[in-house]
Amino acid sequence: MGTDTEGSESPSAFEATADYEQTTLDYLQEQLDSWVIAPTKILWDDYRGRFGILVIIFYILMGTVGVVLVPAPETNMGPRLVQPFQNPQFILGTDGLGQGLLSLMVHSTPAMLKMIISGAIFANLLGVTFGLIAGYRGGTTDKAIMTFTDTVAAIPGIPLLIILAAIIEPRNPFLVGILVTIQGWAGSARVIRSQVLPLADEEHVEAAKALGQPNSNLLVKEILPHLLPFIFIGFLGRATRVISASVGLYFLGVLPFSSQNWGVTLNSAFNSAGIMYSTRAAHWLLVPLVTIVGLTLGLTLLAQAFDQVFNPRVRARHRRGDRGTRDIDEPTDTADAQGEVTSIR
Amino acid sequence: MSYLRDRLIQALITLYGIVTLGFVLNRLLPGGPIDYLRQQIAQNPERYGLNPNSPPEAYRRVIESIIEIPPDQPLHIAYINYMQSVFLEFSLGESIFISRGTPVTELVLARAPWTIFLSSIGLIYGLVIGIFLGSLMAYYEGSKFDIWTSIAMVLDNSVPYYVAAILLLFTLSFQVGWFPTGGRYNPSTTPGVNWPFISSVFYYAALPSLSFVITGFGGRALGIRANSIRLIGSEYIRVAQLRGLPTYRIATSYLARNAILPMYTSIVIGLGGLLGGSVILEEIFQYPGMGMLMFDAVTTRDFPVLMGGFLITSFIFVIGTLLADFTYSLIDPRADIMASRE
Repeated sequence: MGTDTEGSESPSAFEATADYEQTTLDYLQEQLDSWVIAPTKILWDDYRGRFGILVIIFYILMGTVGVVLVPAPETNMGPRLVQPFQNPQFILGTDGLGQGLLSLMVHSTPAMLKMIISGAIFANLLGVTFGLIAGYRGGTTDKAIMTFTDTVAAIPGIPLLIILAAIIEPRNPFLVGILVTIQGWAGSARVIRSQVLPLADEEHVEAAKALGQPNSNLLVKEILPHLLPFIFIGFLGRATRVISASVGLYFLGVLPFSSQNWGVTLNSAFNSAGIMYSTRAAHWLLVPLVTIVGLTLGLTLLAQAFDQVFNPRVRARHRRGDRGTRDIDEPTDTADAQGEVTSIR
Repeated sequence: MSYLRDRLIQALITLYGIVTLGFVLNRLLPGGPIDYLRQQIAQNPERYGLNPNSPPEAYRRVIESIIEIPPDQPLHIAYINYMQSVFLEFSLGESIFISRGTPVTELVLARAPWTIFLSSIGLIYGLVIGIFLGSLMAYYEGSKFDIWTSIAMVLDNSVPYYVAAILLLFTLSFQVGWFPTGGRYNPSTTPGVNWPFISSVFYYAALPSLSFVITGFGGRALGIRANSIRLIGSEYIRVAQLRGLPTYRIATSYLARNAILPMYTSIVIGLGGLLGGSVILEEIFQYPGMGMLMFDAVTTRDFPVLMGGFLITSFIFVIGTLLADFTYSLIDPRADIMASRE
């Protein structure tokens, strides 16, 4: 290389350094801002996100502080079938065995949270690992992994769970959480793979590959960050499914009643003779039903609000601070198109 | 054609995998069906035509006839044996408790049509309502109607189907008395092709399938809404308008068809969810289908019936997805091209 046109006075672009040196603290602050503070703000500004966050915090408090404040349920702790909002000692009333429904609900929460955490982490971990490898490696590896996940996805969930529950009889809530997602991860693997496929050919990934980055580095640094939206939303979605499946199995009475669960309360209400014929015990059914729906609703709404966090347009609008205005770059003729298509069936 | 061939191979692999899983659950899990049955026979040999002095060989033969797996053979021989009896003789063993000695396939298949009936009603109505509401919401995007219906759909989507089932049963059957509290048809009618019987079949299936329908359409409507909104802005719709095509044609064959396509797989997988979910639903409504049979099997620990119900449900689901995939390439010609490019 004889012709160095740049000369010695101006350094090559590769050696240029910024005038301002970023300290570790700055870096951390920046990361904190873009990963924690900004998303939380966006979530909080969305009514769905705000509701979701509040609901989830409420249930977490119920499972941690609530357990200390509310006495544990025991039979004949009060009169039977006290109506809700009548007796200050039993705000939600009591069941047919004289147990306070509030105590039952609160003391079921810790186990439920454990199930959600273990189940959602387990399913996401498997889903991301398989989806990432299949989408990135492609070819025979992809085909083999996808055949395997499709086979797993084709197993009807509840019947398999019933068999496993009957054979294993799990008592540990963490184990129950893993058990109810033993087959559900296959769905997330497919979603993740479909996101990795186009990413694997993208320029920044190609560039990193050309620079000789090891595969593991590439996957973690170049591809994984792009999957975060799907991982987050998948986590919340999986959480609702863990709730619905585990409560369903407890309600059926298939899982051993080792700890309190909303499904167990539901089961005892549903199977008490004559309870369905009168409205006197309606609260015994309604309280656990509302408790279940409340948490799933909170999780679903938060998942919907998360869509906004990962939408670059919303994020940009938020950074500029002029939210409230509609996207300007949206073609105006969509309105015309909508007007023309009168009846969509 | 290559697409269909690939799907067929995939379905066969799936079936094979599921039966293998059945073998693993039966044979390998400690405390699993074989261990359990061995204990049962040891406690009460007379029930199985044995006496305490019978040779161990006789015990083994009884276990094999019930579970279709020879208990003390080496693993590979037991495996081949099991595969043979499932795939060649269509035999899944016999019931232990529910109906001692009856072949499991007979028991399950007698119940299967009822469950398929319930699930398909739930699937079809849920789909129709979902598509209808979803496209209405997309059409009125941003309006009050859209916002409130979206909220309602999210709420609907977060209610587990059994919650709806319990509420429906409690209010409409027990409190108001409009619907029966259990059963498949009016016992005073004679089964056959006659109006009273057929109408009672639908009447008795109304609430169970309604629980599937009302908790199923929320998610579908939101999906169709999102897809339609995305499509309304696209160029081919605009071209169709410029060509002066009538609005209903654009709506039906240009918009709706493409809005449904991305949801096709999830619809098919929904069928699997419905079939599996029937265990909880049929138990709530005391509807004697496959699901209730499996529930009875698990409470009595009748493992052959439980495993048989599981395998047959999986089979129905795999065949259902296969049929759906074959029809998919009819509505979306790209499927064939895409598969051949892979």
